Amino acid sequence: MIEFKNVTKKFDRYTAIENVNLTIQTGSIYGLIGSNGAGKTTIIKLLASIYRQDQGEVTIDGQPVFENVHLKEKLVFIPDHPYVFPQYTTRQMARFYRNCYPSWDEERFKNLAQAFEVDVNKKIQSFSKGWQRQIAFIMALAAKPDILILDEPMDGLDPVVRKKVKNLLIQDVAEREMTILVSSHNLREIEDICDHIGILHKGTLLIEKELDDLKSNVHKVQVAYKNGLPDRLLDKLKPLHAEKRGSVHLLIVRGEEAAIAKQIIETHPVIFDLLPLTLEEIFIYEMGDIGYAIKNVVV
Amino acid sequence: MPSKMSLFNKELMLQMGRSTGWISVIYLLGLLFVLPIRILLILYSDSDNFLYYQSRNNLYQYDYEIQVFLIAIAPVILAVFLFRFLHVKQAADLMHSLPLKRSRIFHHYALTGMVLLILPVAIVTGIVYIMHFTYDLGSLFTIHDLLYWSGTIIVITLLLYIASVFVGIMTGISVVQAVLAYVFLFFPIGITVLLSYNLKILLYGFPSDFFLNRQLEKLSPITFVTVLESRAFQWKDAVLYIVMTLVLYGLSLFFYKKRNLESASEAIAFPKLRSVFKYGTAFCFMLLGGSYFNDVSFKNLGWTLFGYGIGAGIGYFAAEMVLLKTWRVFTRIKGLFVYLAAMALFVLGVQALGFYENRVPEQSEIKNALLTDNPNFYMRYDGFYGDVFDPKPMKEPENIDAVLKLHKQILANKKVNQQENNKADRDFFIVYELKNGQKVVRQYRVMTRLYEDFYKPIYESKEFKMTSKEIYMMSEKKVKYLQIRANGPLNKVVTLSTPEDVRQALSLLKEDVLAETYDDHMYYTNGGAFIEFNLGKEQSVVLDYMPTYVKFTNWLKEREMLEQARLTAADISHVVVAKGDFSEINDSDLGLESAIEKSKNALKITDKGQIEQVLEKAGSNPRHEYAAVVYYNGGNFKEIMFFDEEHVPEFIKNHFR
Repeated sequence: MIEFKNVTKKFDRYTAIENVNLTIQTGSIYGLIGSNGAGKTTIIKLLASIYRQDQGEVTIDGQPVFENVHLKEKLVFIPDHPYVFPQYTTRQMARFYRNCYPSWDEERFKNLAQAFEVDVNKKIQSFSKGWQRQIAFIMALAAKPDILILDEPMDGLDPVVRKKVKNLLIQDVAEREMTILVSSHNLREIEDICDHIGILHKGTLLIEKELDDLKSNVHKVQVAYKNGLPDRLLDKLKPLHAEKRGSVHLLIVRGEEAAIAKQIIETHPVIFDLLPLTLEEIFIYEMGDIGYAIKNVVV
Repeated sequence: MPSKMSLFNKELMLQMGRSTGWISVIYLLGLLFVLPIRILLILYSDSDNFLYYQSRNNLYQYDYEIQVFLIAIAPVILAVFLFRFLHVKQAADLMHSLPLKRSRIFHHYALTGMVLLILPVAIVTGIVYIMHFTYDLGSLFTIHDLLYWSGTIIVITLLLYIASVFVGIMTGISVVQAVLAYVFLFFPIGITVLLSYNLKILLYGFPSDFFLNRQLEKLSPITFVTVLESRAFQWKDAVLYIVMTLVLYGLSLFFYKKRNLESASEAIAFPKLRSVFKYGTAFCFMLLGGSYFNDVSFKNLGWTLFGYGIGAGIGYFAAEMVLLKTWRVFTRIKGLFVYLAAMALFVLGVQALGFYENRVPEQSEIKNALLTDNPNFYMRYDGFYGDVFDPKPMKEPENIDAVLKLHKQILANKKVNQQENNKADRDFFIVYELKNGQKVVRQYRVMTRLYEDFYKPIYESKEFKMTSKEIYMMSEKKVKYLQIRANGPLNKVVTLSTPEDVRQALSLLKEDVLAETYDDHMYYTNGGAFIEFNLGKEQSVVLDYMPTYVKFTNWLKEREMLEQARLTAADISHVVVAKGDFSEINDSDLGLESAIEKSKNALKITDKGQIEQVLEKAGSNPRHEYAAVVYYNGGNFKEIMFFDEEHVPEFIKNHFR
C-alpha cells in the first residue's frame, strides 16, 4: 500500500503540491489526473524517490520511500520522456537494468522484445519517440516490479500499441498484484484501465474515488412527458443536475439503476432512456461547483 | 539472475567507461607523446639535444607546455562529463529512480573518475620504467625522478578533479560547472591578489608585495601546475593536497546527498548559496574594478572609488544574469545598494580606527627586526632548485632601534611619501618578529634621499651586512669558480677556479664589503663591473665590483690579473666630460651623449693617466653634477658615467672652475 500523508513539495518559493493525502491499495491501478502544472509529475517523482518532500511522509507498506534501496528494487518509473544512455542499444540497456533490478526476468525480456518486434541490437536513440517508449515499457515489465509508475505513458503511442500496452499492464496487475500509478492530463485516455482516480488541481488533490463506485452510482436519464415534468418526480429523484432540451428533460441522478427506472416508469413518460455516464461527466456532475471549475482540466 | 548486488555495479562503471573513457584515452595519448615517445626522439637525436635533456631537473621539463595543458584540462573535463547526469534532468531522474543509494552512485562516479585519471599515468609510468632498463636511460633521469613525476601528477590531478566534482555538485549546469571549476581553482590566488592590492590602497604600509610574491603559485593547484617545471613539489605539499582531496571528496558526498535533483539546470544548486555567489561575485569584481582604476588613474581617489562602484555593479548584475539565466536583471537593484552601503560603512570604520597603519611595536616587544630593500626576500620560497640567500633578521638592540626610528619617520612623512610623482625609488620592507610569536610586516615606497640619515647607520653596521649580503651566506665549498667581468663589450674576464684562489678571493671580498660605507655603496653601485660566483646547477651569486674593494684589487694586482679584470685606460680612446644637470634626460643614452657633447665648455680627455682617474672615480647616479661619455677603442661603444663634487678628479674640477 502506497501512502502520501500531508505531503508538501516546494521548488524554491513555488509550491508544487500542498498537503496531499493519497492512498493506493496494492494491486490497483491508480490514475492521477490534472492539467499541466497541477503537480502530477511532482507526486510521481516523490514516489520514485527522485524528489524529497519538504513536509509529510511518502511510504510504501509503512516504510519511507526516499533512498530506500530495498523498496526501490521493486519499483520502476517510466518518465514522460524515457531517457537512455547515449549510444546504448536495447540489449545494453537491458543488461544495465538487469544489473540493477534483482527481479529482472531475462526470459520475459526476450519474449516482450519479440512480441513488440524490437531489434535489440539497434541503438535506442535511433528509434522514433513511440518506439523508445515501447522499449521503456519492455524494460519496465521485464524488471517485474511490484510498483510501476508511469508519467503520461500513452503519449506518442499509436492506438494498436496503446491497446497492447494496456493489456500487458492489466495482465501483470491481475497475475502478480502489481500496483500502478499512472498520470495523464486526459481522463479518457486512461479511464478504461484505472480502478481508482485522483484529481489534482493547482497542487492539491481535489478528489480521490474508486471508479466502480462512481460508475454504478450515477446515471443519465432522458425523459419526455406530454404535460411537462411532474413536480414530485424531481423531489423524489433529487437529481444532481437537470436541464431541458426542447421537450426532453435531461437528469443526472444518483442511486441504483432499478430503483430509478421504477420511479420514472410510474410517472408514465413518453420517452425514457437510462444511459451510463462517461467518467468525465460523472466527475463534472458529482463534484458540482468544483466540477465545473475543473471541467476544462479533465477533458 | 543476480540475487545479490555486488559492491561494484559493473554495468554502471561500464556506462561511465563508454561515455567518458575517451577523455582518459586522449589523456593517455598525450602523456605517451610527452614521455615515452619524446624519450625515443631524444635517444635518436643529436648529442646536443641529449645533453640538454641530461641537465633537466625533473621529468616535467619534457614538453612542459603539453604536460601543463593535459594536467590542467583533463581532470576538469572528466569531472564535467562524468557528473553530467546530475545536470540533465532526464538522466538525473533515471539514475535516481534506480535502486541505488546516492552515496553508492557518488562513490561509483567519483572513484571511477579517479581510476580514469590514474590509469593513463600508471600505464605511461610502466612503459617508461621498462624503457629505463632496456635503453639504459640512467643518464637522463633516475627511477626516483620517474616516481616523483607519476606521484605528483596523480596527486595534483586528483585534487583538480575532485575540486571540479565538488563544483559540479554545487551547480546544475555543466558549462557553469566548467567555468566555476576554474574560478574555484584560481580563487585562492585570485582573492589573495585582489585583497593584497586593495588593502594596499586602503592601508598605508600594507606589504602587498610580500603577500603577492610569497608562494603565490602554491596557493592554487592550477597555478602550481604552471611552475612544476622549476619548483619541487614537496612532501608537505603532497600531504596537503591529499588531505584537501579527501576533504573535498567528503564534502562533495555530503552535499550530493543533500542536493535536490530539481536543481538540475539551475546555475547554483543550493538556494542558500545563491546569495553567497551573488555578493561574492560583486565583492570580487568590486576589488578588481578598484585596483584597475587605482592603477590606471595613478592612485586618484575619485577614479578609484568609481572603480569600486562600477566593479561592484558589474559583478552583482553578472551574478544575477547567471542565476536567473537572462540579461534583463537591471530592475533588481535593491540588493546592490544594500551591499554598497554595507561596504562603505565597513571601509570607513577600518580607516577611522587606524590601528593598522599606526602600529609600531615597542622595542621591548621585539625579538628581531628585518629591514631590506631587496625584493628577493619575499620572492624566494622553498621548493626552489638550488640555495636560497634571504636576508636574515637582526637582533642587536641598536639596529632594532634604528629600524624603529626609520619606521616612525616614514609614518611621520606619510603625506609626502604618498604624493604622486614624488620620485620614490626604494621599497623598504620591515618585518618585526615579536617576542609573543607574532609578526608585523610593512612595506613602504619612499625616496631614498629623505631617509639617508636613518638608513646609513643600519647599512654600515656589521650585523646588517652579515645578514643581508649574499656573499656572507653562501658556502665557500659550493663555489665552483668565480669570474670577474669588466664593464663594456670587451669581454675582459678573469676566472678563478682553484679552491685556494676562491677561498682567498672570497675572504678578501668579505673584508672589503664589510668596510664599504653607505656613501660609497650609493655612489659606485651599478658601475657595470661585477663578480659572479658560480654555485653549479645554473645558480650563481653576483656582486658589484666596486673600486673601493681595495684589498681584493691589490690581491689581483699582485697576481697580475687586474689588467684583465677591469676596464683600463688602454681600452678607452677618449672621454668627454660636461658639468650640469643631466638627470632629466637619463632615459636614452643617445640623448645624453649629444647633450654632453654639445654642452658648453665640454672637456675632452685623451691622456691615459687622466682617463685612468676618470674610470676609478666614476659613479652611476645621473643626479650628479658631472657627466662623462666614455668612448671605447674601436669607436662603436660608449658608456655614460657621472661624478659628484666629492669624487670628481681635480683636473676636471679645475677645468670647470
